[in-house]
Amino acid sequence: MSERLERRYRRLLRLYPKAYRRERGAEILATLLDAAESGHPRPLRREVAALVVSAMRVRFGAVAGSPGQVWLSALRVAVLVLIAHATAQSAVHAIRAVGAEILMVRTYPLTALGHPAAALAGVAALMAIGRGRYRLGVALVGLAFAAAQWAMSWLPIEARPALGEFWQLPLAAAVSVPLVVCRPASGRRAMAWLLAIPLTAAVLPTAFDEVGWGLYLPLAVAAGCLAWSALDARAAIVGAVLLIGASMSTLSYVLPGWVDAMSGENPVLLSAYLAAAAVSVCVGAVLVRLRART
Amino acid sequence: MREPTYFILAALQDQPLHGYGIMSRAEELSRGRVKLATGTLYAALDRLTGERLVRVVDEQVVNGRARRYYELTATGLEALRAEAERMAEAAKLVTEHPNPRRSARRPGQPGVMPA
Repeated sequence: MSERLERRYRRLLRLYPKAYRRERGAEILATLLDAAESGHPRPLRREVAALVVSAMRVRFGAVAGSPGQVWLSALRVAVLVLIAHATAQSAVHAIRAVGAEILMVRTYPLTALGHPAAALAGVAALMAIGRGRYRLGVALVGLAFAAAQWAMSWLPIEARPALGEFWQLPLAAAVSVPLVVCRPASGRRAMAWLLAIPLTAAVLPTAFDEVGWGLYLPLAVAAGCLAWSALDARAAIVGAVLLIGASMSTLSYVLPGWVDAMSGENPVLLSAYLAAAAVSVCVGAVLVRLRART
Repeated sequence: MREPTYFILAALQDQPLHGYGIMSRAEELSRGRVKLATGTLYAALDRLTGERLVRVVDEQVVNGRARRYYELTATGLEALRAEAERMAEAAKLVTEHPNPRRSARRPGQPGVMPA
């Protein structure tokens, strides 16, 4: 029985990161076995659930600290996700333009070069902010936005805010303000943030699905973030920022001159975005406060 | 301060203890209310070590099992005492309150109003 239990606990301990396991693994295992052999053993299910949650928190870097530090860290992640999403969208445009030129399906104007330029500036911004160089990061976000606008210059300027891809970079710049002022610590693996580009392309809307079911993706992603906030309170705040970004383009439809273009479901969608953003912010704020207690 | 944290710190008042020692002492002191799961205990110990409220004082291998002993730091003791005083103050509001309703209900006695 004891050997079987030990094997089971050893398997579960693999959920912790290797470095943590090396430091703590033997000690945690000893405590688990001591507790199991005691007169008052904890229910196995409870021990397993606590181990899984604790391991996930260690592995996915839930930040400990004052509420202010956790909020700054959450805003930093939100900025990185917004930049990754904008970069993914520019990359999608660039790939589409290059593909069409190669296949000679369609000829693009010179301004289409703005798409790869925006994607490159986005990659540079992602790395700068990932490394904690916030001023440089915001400057690169500005550059990426200018390049993306140049690429979209075929569309009248007043029409662009209604595009799903318009708001990520301005919002990233706005959310970066507290980062530039307070300079939160950066993570050790800044390069890993580049993986967020294909990830956001996969789970958030891009130019390919602008008016289709892609509009519901931010809600699905925010719901996922809300679930993830059980492990890391920052996730709810990141989800809220993503929803605010999605709301802004939908809100632009409601502006004068765009009512005609508004499809029937948009007011409902906008309300859903805003309601979900409000819920996410509240959940995030409560969780950050709860976790900050000793 | 959360209740489990309070009893983890209280468990370490007398002497340094290892993981299971902390769990059983916290359960005993809280009269069975705080039953820490191992994963929860180590998450709390990581946090408390980071905040310098507890520290590791000794490491041993007993019967082939690794044991690390934790003790309360001066900051930890201060935080624990501050929390105990806060709770005692809060408890006084109720325990030292003259209860007019109870005395009013006694048969054959007139109710006493607080001054």
